[in-house]
Amino acid sequence: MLGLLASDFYKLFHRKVFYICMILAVAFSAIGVFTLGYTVGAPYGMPDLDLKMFGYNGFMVLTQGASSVMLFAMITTVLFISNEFSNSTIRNVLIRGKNRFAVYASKLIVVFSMVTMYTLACCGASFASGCYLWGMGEPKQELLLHLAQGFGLFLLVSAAVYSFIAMLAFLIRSTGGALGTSIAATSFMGVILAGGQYLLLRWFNLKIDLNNYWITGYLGVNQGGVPSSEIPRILIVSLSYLVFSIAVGMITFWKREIK
Amino acid sequence: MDYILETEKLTKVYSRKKVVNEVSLQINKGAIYGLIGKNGSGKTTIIRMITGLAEPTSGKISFSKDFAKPGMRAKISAVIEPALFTYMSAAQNMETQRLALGVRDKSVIKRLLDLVGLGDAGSKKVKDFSLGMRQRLAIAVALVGDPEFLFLDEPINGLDPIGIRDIRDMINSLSHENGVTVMISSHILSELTKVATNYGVINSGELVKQFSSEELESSIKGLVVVKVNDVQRAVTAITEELGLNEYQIEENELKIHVRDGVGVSEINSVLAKNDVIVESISSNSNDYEGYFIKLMEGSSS
Repeated sequence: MLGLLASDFYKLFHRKVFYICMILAVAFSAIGVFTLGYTVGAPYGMPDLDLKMFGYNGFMVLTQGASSVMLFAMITTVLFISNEFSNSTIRNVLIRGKNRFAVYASKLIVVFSMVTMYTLACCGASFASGCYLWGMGEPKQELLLHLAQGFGLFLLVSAAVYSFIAMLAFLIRSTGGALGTSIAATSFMGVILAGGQYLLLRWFNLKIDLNNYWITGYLGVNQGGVPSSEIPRILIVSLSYLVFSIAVGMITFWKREIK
Repeated sequence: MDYILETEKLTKVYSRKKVVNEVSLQINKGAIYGLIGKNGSGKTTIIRMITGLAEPTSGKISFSKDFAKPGMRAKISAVIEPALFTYMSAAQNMETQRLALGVRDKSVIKRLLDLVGLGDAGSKKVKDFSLGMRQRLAIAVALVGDPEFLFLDEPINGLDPIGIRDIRDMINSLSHENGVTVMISSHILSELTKVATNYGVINSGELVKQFSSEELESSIKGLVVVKVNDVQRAVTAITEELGLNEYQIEENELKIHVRDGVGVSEINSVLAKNDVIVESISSNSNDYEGYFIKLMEGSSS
């Protein structure tokens, strides 16, 4: 297992896409902070709003950068996994008797590590941008706890989201197909869920907010401020996706033939 | 017999079609086993099942007890089409496999790249490699971790004559110097006969025959083909004066099975003495292709 991990990290760190996506995610994080004054002020006719007077500082925007991770980490995840199938390189380790569960687990650990690296880099970028614009601010205990809660939940939700994307990559095995499906799943699921809600209400008179059960909807938890009443549901939904994706992905990888 | 691998009625069905049909083959330790068959005859599927990439529909695959020991499964390796990371260099491809297999010795990369003739191309990206170079690199990757049993699926496809010779020398050296058992699948019979010690002929998913190189030699050796003006007179001459009673007549061509001590020159002089005009005469002792084709066609009819 350690050998597989070492090999998978080596493959990740030798892919240009890993660095390109990280640079882009970091750049978008910084841009997001630099344009925050405009984003907040423009609707009120104050495009040059200085957020310093509202108490903004580096610590306040520390975890905001994590919002830029999603698309870029998805691209890296899909390319990292499906490339092994399109080049048939997955055969090189399976022929040598490596356990398929271990091969899957190794890929998943590398993906989680990559997402954590991206998240940390993006948070670093948003923190640095915030410090540059409004100063670092004081690390008040209440704010840090608030951020730590948001960051912890974000990592859990991310683990669920990227285990789902990894599952798609293992199932579909082609880069284009897996990437297209992942983007479609994250982009159009809102529309599908809205349609589902409408049908449930119309046919069964059931009023359910299906968005509460779609994992990517929780990626905004990095902003912090999640009501404590919502935390159990976030934990249950995340863990359910995590367990489901890992189980389906591993079992199908175990069963299916390798070309 | 000291078999390293034995399959029993190995069968694979895809979409109700039997791609491999009850194949029972045996490979001796240290052998170079040539699996011969036309394209689509099931050779690759057999290798994929043996190496664990595909599950047999029925039948059994047994390796010798040595491979049941912990970690020994890593000593089985294969090249089924070059499987490489094109964005990496040759050395980096080797490194991924070295790390995955937990091989501590880093010098293995240079040693194996030198062995396959890619010593100078280690830093070159695989996307810039020719098919022959990719084939060589795939073999080098397969050799990481010193495998004891190596499967090569059509290893000389796309190679130039020098590349073919190099791969042949490498297989011979792996077998004779390192004791590696090798199974090579190929449809290029002339090349296979230069290295293989044992053969399995496969046609339409069925194993037609297994034999050793000695058995192959004795099956095809001593065939002299003579083209003459008078076949009947030639037959009389060789049966009465040389006592050769095994022959086939095809128009004005006579295929004579000779015994030890009788060769082209003896037959030629007897025919000349009996006023038979010899248009051409040749020893056909290297007609492996004809032998294999006959085996495969025989199984189809």
